[in-house]
Amino acid sequence: MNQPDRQSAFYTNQARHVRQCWKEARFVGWTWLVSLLVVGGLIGRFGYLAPDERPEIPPLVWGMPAWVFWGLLVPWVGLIAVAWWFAGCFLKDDEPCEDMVADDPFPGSGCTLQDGMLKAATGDGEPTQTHE
Amino acid sequence: MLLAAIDRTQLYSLVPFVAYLVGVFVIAVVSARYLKGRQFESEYYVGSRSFGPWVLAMSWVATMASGGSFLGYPSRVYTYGWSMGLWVSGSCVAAMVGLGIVGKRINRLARQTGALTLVDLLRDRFSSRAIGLIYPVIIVLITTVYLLAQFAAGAKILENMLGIEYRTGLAIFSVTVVAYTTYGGFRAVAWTDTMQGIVMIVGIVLLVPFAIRAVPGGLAAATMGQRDRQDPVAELHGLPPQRDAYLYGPGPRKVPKNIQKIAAGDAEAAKIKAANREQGLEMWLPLSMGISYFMLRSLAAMMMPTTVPRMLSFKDTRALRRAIMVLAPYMLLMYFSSMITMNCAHSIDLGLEPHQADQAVTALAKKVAPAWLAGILIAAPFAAVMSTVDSALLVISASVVRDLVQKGFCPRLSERMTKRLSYSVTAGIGLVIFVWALQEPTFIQPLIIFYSGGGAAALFWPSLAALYWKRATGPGVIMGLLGGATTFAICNQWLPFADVLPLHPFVYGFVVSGLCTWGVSLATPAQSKSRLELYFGRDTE
Repeated sequence: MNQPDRQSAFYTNQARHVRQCWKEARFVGWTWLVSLLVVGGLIGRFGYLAPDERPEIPPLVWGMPAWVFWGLLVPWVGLIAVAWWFAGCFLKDDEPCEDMVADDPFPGSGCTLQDGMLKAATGDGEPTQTHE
Repeated sequence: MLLAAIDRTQLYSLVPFVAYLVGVFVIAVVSARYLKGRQFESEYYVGSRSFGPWVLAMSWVATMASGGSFLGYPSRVYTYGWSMGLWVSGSCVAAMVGLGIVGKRINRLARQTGALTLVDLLRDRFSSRAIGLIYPVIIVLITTVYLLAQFAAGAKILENMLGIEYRTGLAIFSVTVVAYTTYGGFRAVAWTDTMQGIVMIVGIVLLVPFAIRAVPGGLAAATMGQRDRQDPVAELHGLPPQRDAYLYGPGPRKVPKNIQKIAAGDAEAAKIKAANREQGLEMWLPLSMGISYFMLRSLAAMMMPTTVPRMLSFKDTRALRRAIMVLAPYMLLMYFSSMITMNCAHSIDLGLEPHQADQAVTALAKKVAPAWLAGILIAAPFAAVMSTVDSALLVISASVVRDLVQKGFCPRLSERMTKRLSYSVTAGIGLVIFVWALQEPTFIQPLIIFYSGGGAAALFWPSLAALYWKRATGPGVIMGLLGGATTFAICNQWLPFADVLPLHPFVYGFVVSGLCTWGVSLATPAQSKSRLELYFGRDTE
């Protein structure tokens, strides 16, 4: 593969990686929001009762207050299943970085692509020490 | 015969603990061998990016679950009962959030840019020397405070377990953890974290059946027994207790820091009580505060300076995937087990005063578990603390050596000099914290919350924007960091709207940080297209 093709492959794969990561991040973000609403809602509704609203005999499930069981434990188990599905089926393998051989393709940007690595610059445009 | 029996019991308690310590040092020695023949910085700070799922998962959770999770959190359950349910609920989604949002992105960019720290990534992303200087300074400051709490926690565990003085325990703890961290680097830290993660979960889960069995009637009896429990704060201040306060939110009254003086019948006790009543003795966890803690506990771990190195160090996405699958149930087992055991603890007379709640786990382990298991159970919180301290030490070392010295002022630092500096700074920080911790801090958990809350408030939005938002700029990221940190610090001292809608200081810092990152980024020039394409690619599809 010649240099322009390698560069093109790099940019295409990088964009694909970002799109996939963004998709996964959005899924996790929505899961977080839903869990906040469900757990917070259930506990707020059934676990935060004013003293005169509390039952004469508190209902228990498996020895713990019922609101802890239904509002915390059950959603938590559900979220474990969601996490397993997310990790097992939704999270995609990342593609390997394309090997690049290039001189500085972006004069003035302060960043170069060499051997599949981004060599970024410090603020004054000088390349940093390479460590890989 | 009785004397021999007592010695044997103490011996059985100590054997697992000593075996654990020996294991830690063996790992450090083996790890140090990896430093030979490999690029020093990459091996010392990120283990040459070679870790698989188990090391990733265990080291992530062991680092995140510190003395706070094994002493502070159980002590709060012991103090406030089942009302802690909402407080801990954010942990139900912490694994997915902590690894799933940024894990792949950070790992890939770090490989491409050679980044060994989060600051490396951010500095290079924006070509910003200012980020390279401001970020590590803030990370060093907040992590140092965190380390103080952890050193104190480690010392208290030894104090309780061995019956030695706090300062002696602190010395033993400090020498141990600083030695293996300095010598072995990140690989030693990650491997000991893995061992510690296993010890932690085995210990805390095994305690559950013993705690339940020690209560006549089991967990249900323990829960119903909390109905008769006296609220010590209400009692001492002459206030009426609330019915079933330990079974429902917002829980009983919050224990004030000066309760020890009141309970001791101190000469000033009457004045202290009057002052407390005038200030108002708030309930433990109002709903809005509980929701704040959900946010804090679910979001804070994502960009914590001590957990980000794990994102830099795993070897492929397969490792990340499996780590999430391991961590999701792990979090439930860890936190729910403590909920159960500490709610049983009140039916088992541990002889603790309200201000001694930090000793609840070790006291319960000694009381209900057989001696050999008690040693493992006591090693668990100790392991948790060590796993957090070793990571925090390396974070500070990396921030100073790599981010400030090497990248900030001496880009041509030789590998030999880097090595010497890394060892010196790691050991030096340990010494400084040891000296500082000699003045024993009273409550550990607030210091830990300061770190996790302040860190999350300051780092979350700027880091996320840097990874995913093309329009983010260096000034925006800096202002997000400073705005979040400053707001958190101010609100930690003075909480606005506390009487109307009490929220954790983290929430204010979190919001301000997001607004600053967004607003200042939009108000400053965008980066060049060519630079953005390096990080975001070029869309041709």
